[in-house]
Amino acid sequence: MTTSQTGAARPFATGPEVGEPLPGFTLPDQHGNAVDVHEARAGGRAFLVFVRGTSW
Amino acid sequence: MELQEHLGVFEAAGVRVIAVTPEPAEVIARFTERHGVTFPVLSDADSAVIDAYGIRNTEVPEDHRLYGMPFPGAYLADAEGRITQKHFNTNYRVRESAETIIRGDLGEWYDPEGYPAADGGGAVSASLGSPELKPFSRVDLLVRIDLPAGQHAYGEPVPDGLIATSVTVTGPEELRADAPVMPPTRPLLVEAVGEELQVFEGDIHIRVPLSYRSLEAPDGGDSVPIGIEVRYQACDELVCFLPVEERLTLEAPLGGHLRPER
Repeated sequence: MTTSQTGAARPFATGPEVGEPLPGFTLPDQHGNAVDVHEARAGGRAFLVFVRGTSW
Repeated sequence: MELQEHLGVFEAAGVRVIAVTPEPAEVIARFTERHGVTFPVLSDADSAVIDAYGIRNTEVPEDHRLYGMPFPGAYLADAEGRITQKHFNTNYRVRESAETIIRGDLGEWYDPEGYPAADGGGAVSASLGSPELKPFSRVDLLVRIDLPAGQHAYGEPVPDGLIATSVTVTGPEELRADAPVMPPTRPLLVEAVGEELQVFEGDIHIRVPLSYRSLEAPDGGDSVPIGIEVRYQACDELVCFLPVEERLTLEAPLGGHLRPER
Protein backbone atom coordinates (compact mmCIF):
# COMPACT_ATOMS: atom_id res chain seq x y z
CA MET A 1 0.00 0.00 0.00
CA THR A 2 1.56 3.25 -1.05
CA THR A 3 -1.36 5.62 -1.46
CA SER A 4 -4.71 5.16 0.14
CA GLN A 5 -7.85 7.18 0.35
CA THR A 6 -10.47 5.61 2.51
CA GLY A 7 -13.95 6.59 3.51
CA ALA A 8 -14.23 8.93 0.55
CA ALA A 9 -17.66 9.52 -0.95
CA ARG A 10 -15.80 11.17 -3.83
CA PRO A 11 -12.20 12.07 -4.57
CA PHE A 12 -10.70 15.12 -2.91
CA ALA A 13 -7.38 16.92 -3.04
CA THR A 14 -4.58 15.04 -1.32
CA GLY A 15 -1.71 17.29 -2.37
CA PRO A 16 1.64 16.26 -3.81
CA GLU A 17 1.93 12.73 -5.13
CA VAL A 18 4.12 9.80 -4.23
CA GLY A 19 7.47 10.22 -6.00
CA GLU A 20 7.39 14.00 -5.82
CA PRO A 21 9.58 15.98 -3.43
CA LEU A 22 7.91 16.87 -0.15
CA PRO A 23 7.30 20.64 -0.52
CA GLY A 24 9.52 22.51 1.94
CA PHE A 25 8.29 25.12 4.44
CA THR A 26 9.17 26.77 7.73
CA LEU A 27 6.63 27.24 10.54
CA PRO A 28 6.82 27.96 14.29
CA ASP A 29 6.64 24.98 16.66
CA GLN A 30 5.10 24.83 20.16
CA HIS A 31 8.23 26.44 21.66
CA GLY A 32 8.19 29.36 19.21
CA ASN A 33 11.15 28.02 17.22
CA ALA A 34 11.03 28.27 13.43
CA VAL A 35 11.19 24.70 12.09
CA ASP A 36 12.22 23.93 8.51
CA VAL A 37 10.65 20.58 7.66
CA HIS A 38 13.66 19.34 5.68
CA GLU A 39 16.21 20.53 8.22
CA ALA A 40 14.16 18.90 10.98
CA ARG A 41 14.43 15.46 9.40
CA ALA A 42 18.23 15.88 9.46
CA GLY A 43 18.89 13.73 6.41
CA GLY A 44 16.48 11.04 7.56
CA ARG A 45 12.91 10.05 6.86
CA ALA A 46 9.99 12.17 8.00
CA PHE A 47 6.37 11.49 8.77
CA LEU A 48 4.47 14.71 8.15
CA VAL A 49 0.96 14.71 9.58
CA PHE A 50 -1.68 17.35 8.82
CA VAL A 51 -4.32 17.56 11.53
CA ARG A 52 -7.36 19.76 11.87
CA GLY A 53 -6.70 20.72 15.43
CA THR A 54 -5.11 19.68 18.69
CA SER A 55 -8.14 17.60 19.62
CA TRP A 56 -6.40 14.48 18.36
CA MET B 1 -2.05 11.34 22.73
CA GLU B 2 -1.84 8.59 20.22
CA LEU B 3 1.06 9.70 18.05
CA GLN B 4 3.13 10.50 21.13
CA GLU B 5 2.45 7.02 22.56
CA HIS B 6 3.95 5.48 19.46
CA LEU B 7 6.74 7.97 18.94
CA GLY B 8 9.29 5.36 19.98
CA VAL B 9 8.25 3.11 17.10
CA PHE B 10 8.75 5.93 14.59
CA GLU B 11 12.08 6.87 16.19
CA ALA B 12 13.24 3.26 16.11
CA ALA B 13 12.45 3.23 12.38
CA GLY B 14 14.49 6.44 11.97
CA VAL B 15 11.44 8.50 11.11
CA ARG B 16 11.05 12.08 12.36
CA VAL B 17 7.44 12.88 13.26
CA ILE B 18 6.24 16.41 12.47
CA ALA B 19 2.64 17.63 12.76
CA VAL B 20 1.05 20.69 11.18
CA THR B 21 -2.23 22.25 12.28
CA PRO B 22 -3.90 25.59 11.48
CA GLU B 23 -4.39 26.29 15.18
CA PRO B 24 -2.62 29.29 16.73
CA ALA B 25 0.77 28.68 18.35
CA GLU B 26 -0.52 29.42 21.88
CA VAL B 27 -3.26 26.78 21.61
CA ILE B 28 -0.69 24.26 20.41
CA ALA B 29 1.70 25.22 23.22
CA ARG B 30 -0.97 24.61 25.87
CA PHE B 31 -2.00 21.31 24.30
CA THR B 32 1.49 19.93 23.85
CA GLU B 33 2.49 20.88 27.40
CA ARG B 34 -0.60 19.32 28.93
CA HIS B 35 -0.20 16.10 26.95
CA GLY B 36 3.58 15.82 27.08
CA VAL B 37 3.99 16.00 23.31
CA THR B 38 7.69 16.05 22.45
CA PHE B 39 7.66 16.05 18.64
CA PRO B 40 7.27 19.36 16.78
CA VAL B 41 3.71 20.54 16.26
CA LEU B 42 3.81 23.45 13.83
CA SER B 43 1.30 26.27 13.63
CA ASP B 44 0.07 27.09 10.13
CA ALA B 45 -2.21 29.83 11.46
CA ASP B 46 -3.06 31.36 8.06
CA SER B 47 -3.18 27.94 6.34
CA ALA B 48 -0.43 29.05 3.94
CA VAL B 49 1.32 25.66 3.97
CA ILE B 50 -2.01 23.83 3.80
CA ASP B 51 -2.77 25.87 0.66
CA ALA B 52 0.71 25.33 -0.77
CA TYR B 53 0.09 21.59 -0.42
CA GLY B 54 -3.38 22.06 -1.92
CA ILE B 55 -5.14 20.16 0.85
CA ARG B 56 -7.42 22.84 2.30
CA ASN B 57 -10.93 21.55 2.80
CA THR B 58 -12.63 23.96 0.41
CA GLU B 59 -16.08 22.67 1.31
CA VAL B 60 -15.92 24.58 4.58
CA PRO B 61 -17.51 28.04 4.16
CA GLU B 62 -15.46 31.12 4.98
CA ASP B 63 -17.45 32.07 8.06
CA HIS B 64 -17.23 28.59 9.58
CA ARG B 65 -15.00 27.93 12.57
CA LEU B 66 -13.26 25.12 10.67
CA TYR B 67 -12.42 27.38 7.70
CA GLY B 68 -8.81 26.85 6.62
CA MET B 69 -8.72 23.26 7.91
CA PRO B 70 -6.79 20.70 5.89
CA PHE B 71 -8.08 17.33 4.87
CA PRO B 72 -6.41 15.23 7.57
CA GLY B 73 -3.64 13.16 6.09
CA ALA B 74 -0.01 12.23 6.26
CA TYR B 75 3.04 11.91 4.05
CA LEU B 76 6.07 9.74 4.54
CA ALA B 77 9.24 11.19 2.99
CA ASP B 78 12.45 9.27 2.44
CA ALA B 79 15.96 10.41 3.32
CA GLU B 80 16.10 12.39 0.06
CA GLY B 81 12.93 14.28 0.98
CA ARG B 82 10.85 12.52 -1.63
CA ILE B 83 7.31 11.33 -0.82
CA THR B 84 7.26 7.55 -0.68
CA GLN B 85 3.80 7.04 0.79
CA LYS B 86 0.76 9.08 1.64
CA HIS B 87 -2.43 8.46 3.44
CA PHE B 88 -5.63 10.49 3.51
CA ASN B 89 -9.00 9.77 5.00
CA THR B 90 -12.12 11.85 4.42
CA ASN B 91 -14.11 10.14 7.10
CA TYR B 92 -13.25 12.33 10.08
CA ARG B 93 -14.99 10.05 12.50
CA VAL B 94 -12.72 7.13 11.78
CA ARG B 95 -9.24 8.25 12.67
CA GLU B 96 -6.29 6.38 11.40
CA SER B 97 -4.55 5.08 14.46
CA ALA B 98 -0.82 5.34 14.72
CA GLU B 99 -0.63 1.55 14.68
CA THR B 100 -2.32 1.44 11.30
CA ILE B 101 0.06 4.03 9.94
CA ILE B 102 3.07 2.24 11.33
CA ARG B 103 2.07 -1.11 9.93
CA GLY B 104 0.27 -0.04 6.81
CA ASP B 105 2.35 2.87 5.67
CA LEU B 106 5.70 2.32 7.30
CA GLY B 107 5.47 -1.38 6.70
CA GLU B 108 6.66 -2.21 10.18
CA TRP B 109 5.26 -5.11 12.10
CA TYR B 110 5.87 -4.65 15.74
CA ASP B 111 5.32 -7.15 18.48
CA PRO B 112 1.86 -6.83 19.92
CA GLU B 113 2.83 -8.72 23.08
CA GLY B 114 0.36 -8.09 25.86
CA TYR B 115 -2.36 -6.99 23.43
CA PRO B 116 -5.63 -8.96 23.24
CA ALA B 117 -4.99 -12.18 21.38
CA ALA B 118 -6.55 -15.49 20.41
CA ASP B 119 -4.89 -18.76 19.55
CA GLY B 120 -6.73 -21.58 17.85
CA GLY B 121 -4.19 -24.18 18.87
CA GLY B 122 -3.19 -24.75 15.24
CA ALA B 123 -1.06 -22.66 12.93
CA VAL B 124 -3.42 -19.68 13.18
CA SER B 125 -3.32 -16.96 15.81
CA ALA B 126 -4.63 -13.41 15.96
CA SER B 127 -4.03 -10.29 17.98
CA LEU B 128 -5.29 -6.75 18.13
CA GLY B 129 -2.77 -4.08 17.06
CA SER B 130 -3.64 -2.03 20.12
CA PRO B 131 -4.40 -2.71 23.81
CA GLU B 132 -8.09 -2.05 23.15
CA LEU B 133 -10.69 -1.19 20.56
CA LYS B 134 -11.52 2.52 20.63
CA PRO B 135 -14.91 3.71 19.36
CA PHE B 136 -14.69 5.26 15.89
CA SER B 137 -10.93 4.72 15.69
CA ARG B 138 -9.24 2.47 13.25
CA VAL B 139 -7.24 -0.43 14.63
CA ASP B 140 -5.66 -3.42 12.99
CA LEU B 141 -6.45 -7.02 13.58
CA LEU B 142 -3.30 -9.05 12.96
CA VAL B 143 -3.79 -12.59 11.77
CA ARG B 144 -0.85 -14.98 11.61
CA ILE B 145 -0.55 -18.30 9.87
CA ASP B 146 2.71 -19.88 10.91
CA LEU B 147 3.46 -22.58 8.35
CA PRO B 148 6.10 -25.21 9.02
CA ALA B 149 9.32 -24.83 7.03
CA GLY B 150 9.03 -26.14 3.48
CA GLN B 151 5.30 -25.54 3.27
CA HIS B 152 3.46 -22.88 1.37
CA ALA B 153 -0.12 -21.64 1.01
CA TYR B 154 -1.76 -20.04 -2.01
CA GLY B 155 -2.71 -16.50 -2.94
CA GLU B 156 -5.39 -15.68 -5.51
CA PRO B 157 -5.97 -16.86 -8.15
CA VAL B 158 -5.88 -20.63 -7.66
CA PRO B 159 -6.87 -23.38 -10.07
CA ASP B 160 -9.82 -25.66 -9.31
CA GLY B 161 -9.13 -28.03 -6.47
CA LEU B 162 -6.90 -25.72 -4.46
CA ILE B 163 -7.99 -23.30 -1.76
CA ALA B 164 -6.67 -19.74 -1.68
CA THR B 165 -5.75 -18.21 1.65
CA SER B 166 -8.54 -16.10 3.08
CA VAL B 167 -9.52 -14.33 6.30
CA THR B 168 -13.13 -13.50 7.15
CA VAL B 169 -13.97 -11.32 10.13
CA THR B 170 -17.40 -11.39 11.75
CA GLY B 171 -18.86 -9.61 14.74
CA PRO B 172 -21.63 -7.33 15.89
CA GLU B 173 -23.21 -4.99 13.36
CA GLU B 174 -21.17 -2.02 14.65
CA LEU B 175 -17.90 -3.78 13.80
CA ARG B 176 -16.59 -2.94 10.33
CA ALA B 177 -13.77 -4.87 8.76
CA ASP B 178 -11.99 -3.70 5.61
CA ALA B 179 -10.59 -6.12 3.06
CA PRO B 180 -7.65 -8.08 4.51
CA VAL B 181 -4.24 -6.84 3.44
CA MET B 182 -2.26 -9.90 2.38
CA PRO B 183 1.53 -10.04 2.37
CA PRO B 184 3.36 -10.28 -0.97
CA THR B 185 3.36 -13.64 -2.70
CA ARG B 186 6.11 -15.21 -4.76
CA PRO B 187 5.63 -17.27 -7.91
CA LEU B 188 6.31 -20.98 -7.54
CA LEU B 189 6.14 -23.64 -10.21
CA VAL B 190 3.94 -26.34 -8.70
CA GLU B 191 4.81 -29.60 -10.45
CA ALA B 192 1.62 -31.40 -9.50
CA VAL B 193 -0.51 -28.72 -11.15
CA GLY B 194 1.95 -27.96 -13.94
CA GLU B 195 1.42 -24.22 -13.34
CA GLU B 196 3.18 -21.34 -11.75
CA LEU B 197 1.14 -20.25 -8.73
CA GLN B 198 1.42 -17.36 -6.29
CA VAL B 199 2.41 -18.62 -2.85
CA PHE B 200 2.89 -17.45 0.73
CA GLU B 201 5.57 -19.07 2.83
CA GLY B 202 6.73 -19.19 6.42
CA ASP B 203 5.09 -16.90 8.91
CA ILE B 204 2.22 -15.25 7.00
CA HIS B 205 1.04 -11.93 8.47
CA ILE B 206 -2.36 -10.67 7.36
CA ARG B 207 -3.66 -7.29 8.46
CA VAL B 208 -7.38 -6.51 8.71
CA PRO B 209 -8.25 -2.85 9.39
CA LEU B 210 -11.17 -2.64 11.82
CA SER B 211 -13.35 0.06 13.27
CA TYR B 212 -16.09 -0.11 15.85
CA ARG B 213 -18.87 2.40 15.33
CA SER B 214 -20.55 2.60 18.68
CA LEU B 215 -19.69 3.81 22.18
CA GLU B 216 -21.25 0.72 23.72
CA ALA B 217 -20.11 -2.89 23.68
CA PRO B 218 -22.78 -5.47 22.80
CA ASP B 219 -25.10 -6.77 25.53
CA GLY B 220 -23.97 -4.15 28.03
CA GLY B 221 -20.57 -5.79 28.28
CA ASP B 222 -17.14 -4.20 28.08
CA SER B 223 -15.67 -6.15 25.18
CA VAL B 224 -16.45 -6.83 21.54
CA PRO B 225 -16.26 -10.41 20.24
CA ILE B 226 -14.39 -10.56 16.94
CA GLY B 227 -14.89 -13.77 15.00
CA ILE B 228 -12.02 -14.76 12.74
CA GLU B 229 -12.27 -17.50 10.13
CA VAL B 230 -9.10 -18.45 8.31
CA ARG B 231 -9.02 -20.82 5.34
CA TYR B 232 -5.90 -22.02 3.66
CA GLN B 233 -4.35 -25.05 2.11
CA ALA B 234 -0.77 -25.94 2.83
CA CYS B 235 1.40 -27.88 0.42
CA ASP B 236 5.03 -28.84 0.37
CA GLU B 237 7.12 -30.05 -2.56
CA LEU B 238 5.48 -33.44 -2.61
CA VAL B 239 1.97 -33.27 -1.24
CA CYS B 240 -0.91 -30.96 -0.56
CA PHE B 241 -2.59 -31.28 2.81
CA LEU B 242 -6.34 -31.07 3.32
CA PRO B 243 -7.73 -27.53 3.37
CA VAL B 244 -7.73 -26.05 6.84
CA GLU B 245 -10.49 -23.93 8.29
CA GLU B 246 -9.70 -22.44 11.69
CA ARG B 247 -12.10 -20.29 13.68
CA LEU B 248 -10.99 -18.05 16.53
CA THR B 249 -12.80 -15.55 18.69
CA LEU B 250 -10.90 -12.58 20.02
CA GLU B 251 -12.51 -10.62 22.84
CA ALA B 252 -11.43 -7.01 22.30
CA PRO B 253 -11.89 -4.71 25.31
CA LEU B 254 -13.75 -1.54 24.31
CA GLY B 255 -11.83 1.52 25.41
CA GLY B 256 -12.77 5.03 26.36
CA HIS B 257 -14.57 7.57 24.27
CA LEU B 258 -12.91 10.12 22.08
CA ARG B 259 -13.32 13.69 23.18
CA PRO B 260 -16.14 15.36 21.22
CA GLU B 261 -15.36 16.77 17.80
CA ARG B 262 -14.40 20.39 17.83
